Amino acid sequence: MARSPFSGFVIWTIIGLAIFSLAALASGKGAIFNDILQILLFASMALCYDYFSGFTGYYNLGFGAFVALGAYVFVISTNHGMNVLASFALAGVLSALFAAGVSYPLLRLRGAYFAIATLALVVLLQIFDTNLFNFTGGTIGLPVDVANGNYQLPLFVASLGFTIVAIMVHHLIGRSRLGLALKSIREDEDVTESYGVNTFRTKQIVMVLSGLFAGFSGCLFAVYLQFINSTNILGLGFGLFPVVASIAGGSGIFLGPVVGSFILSGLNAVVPEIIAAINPTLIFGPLVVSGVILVVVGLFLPGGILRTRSLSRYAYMRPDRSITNYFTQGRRGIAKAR
Amino acid sequence: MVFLGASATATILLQGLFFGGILSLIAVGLTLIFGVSKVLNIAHGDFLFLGGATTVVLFTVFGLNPFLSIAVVVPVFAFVGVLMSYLMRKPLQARTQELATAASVLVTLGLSNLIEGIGSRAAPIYGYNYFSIPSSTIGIGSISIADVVLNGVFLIAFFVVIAISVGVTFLVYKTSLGSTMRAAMADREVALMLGIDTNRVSMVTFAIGISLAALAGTIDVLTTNLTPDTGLTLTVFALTVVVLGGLGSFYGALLGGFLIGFVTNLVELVLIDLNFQGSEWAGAVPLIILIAVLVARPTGLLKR
Repeated sequence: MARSPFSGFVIWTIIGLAIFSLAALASGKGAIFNDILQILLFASMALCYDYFSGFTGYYNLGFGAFVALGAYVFVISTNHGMNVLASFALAGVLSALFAAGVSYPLLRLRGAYFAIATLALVVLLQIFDTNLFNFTGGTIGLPVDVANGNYQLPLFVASLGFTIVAIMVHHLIGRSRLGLALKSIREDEDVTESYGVNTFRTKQIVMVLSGLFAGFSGCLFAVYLQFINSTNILGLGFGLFPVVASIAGGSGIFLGPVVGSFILSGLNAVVPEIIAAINPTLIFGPLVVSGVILVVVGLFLPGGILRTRSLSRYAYMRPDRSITNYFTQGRRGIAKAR
Repeated sequence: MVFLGASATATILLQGLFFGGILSLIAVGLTLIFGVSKVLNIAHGDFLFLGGATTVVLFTVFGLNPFLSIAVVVPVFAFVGVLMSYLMRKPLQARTQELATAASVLVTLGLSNLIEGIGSRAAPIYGYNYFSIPSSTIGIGSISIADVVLNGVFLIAFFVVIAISVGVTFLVYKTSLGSTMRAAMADREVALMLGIDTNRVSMVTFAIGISLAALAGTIDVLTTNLTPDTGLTLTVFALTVVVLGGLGSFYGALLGGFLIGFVTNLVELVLIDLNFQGSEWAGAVPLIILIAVLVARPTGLLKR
């Protein structure tokens, strides 16, 4: 498999994304633009979630708390006049610090206990948010006052850039010693510990990294949503999106969360309309869609779509070599290109 | 400092015990299901909502007294529990127990999303913005004991909760069914070797667990408003109790529920006395307790 972080596969994914996005831009600022923007935002969030959960195998169900914290920091500081870039950085840093602080109690736990505790973290943050409403706006929320006028284009460029960075970081982690340690933790934590790896420190590093990027992601979402309150950014539907996307697409593979986000966003946009067209009284929302996906994935595709036997051949494929292989070896050569 | 009268204080504390009783019913179901089949049922709180919603629908459409609708809710949701145990068979075939629990978390989380998603859309369509049965419609007034005025329905519901708790304890510790459940909880493989049909025990445990949750919902609807999205929060609270008592410990769940409910309302009382917004912050108490317990003693207080 390719070793350099700039291997053909990553480059081609990035190029593909860029082309896709530019096509969206060219189509004018319409629904497609909005859909692509949304997919980019959610994909980057899912990638940040996957830094921790994909490699270690733990389900960080409380990831939404990191994102929401970043969003709130960003909004509160820009509303108080702080420069946008400084707020962006501050949001990331504070989110990372929160992740570091929270990692001390949380990383002692394993498996189911960890999932429960992180879930409780989100609910706890929701309660704090609702009660400190003088500061945070509670359920009514805070408006985002960042760019007067046309913010769509800079937001799009920023999200595209952020997604690309997120993909590269994910790939880098996967290829590094840190990634190796994390993957061994996923396989068997006790054995890894007995090999001399400080599992706590390893998990903490990647959790802080995940928190840092989650903070940035929260800022982008705040600008996209134009106002934040305890339901839209701290709600379970939002916070569970990266979980579902990453699990459905394939956790631990960098393409997984991206594919998962495509699928989930696409289904969220398309399925309710289809069902409403068939039977107008049945209105289903994103919760139902993610519920069905979770059940199906949990029952039939435990590793995600990209790990099924038919698709896992393609998960690490290099499109550039695939094309040359096709001409030299015929159809069989496509999947052999690694 | 604000001092509430004896009536309000007693009501709040009793409400705490009542809420704790509801919590312990949910928690007992959760811990039994986890102990026997290693499934962490995230959708458990949503079954409470479904039980309550069924009761309200039966009440408004058929005029069935909620206390009598227990006889309908329990069998129906026991059957639902059996269905769930069939649904869970596939995830439980994973290689290790941790993977099985993780897969069950995914499936039940999906189920929870489904119930909440469909519920929050379907309920307003049929005219239910929230589900509750006001006590005035049942026709039992207030009772006053020594200067303390308590709602009659609340008292009856309270005693029903106590009765159910006693009943379940009896079931688990004094019947042969209960001992097969405890055997499967202690060591599934040895139980298999001893000839216990663990699949059947799982099925029965699911039935009991889910119907307990629905039952708790039936009672809860008499005193609170239920909305479709309260399921997950309730599950998190129930998980607090279960973790406090130890995943798989029956008495831990039972006693932990009452304890947490009582402490939550005690804190609320203290906060109200000190002039803070007691009822809002009190909801954070179980979660803080959860995190504290998970830090200090992750296996729970009562589990060896």
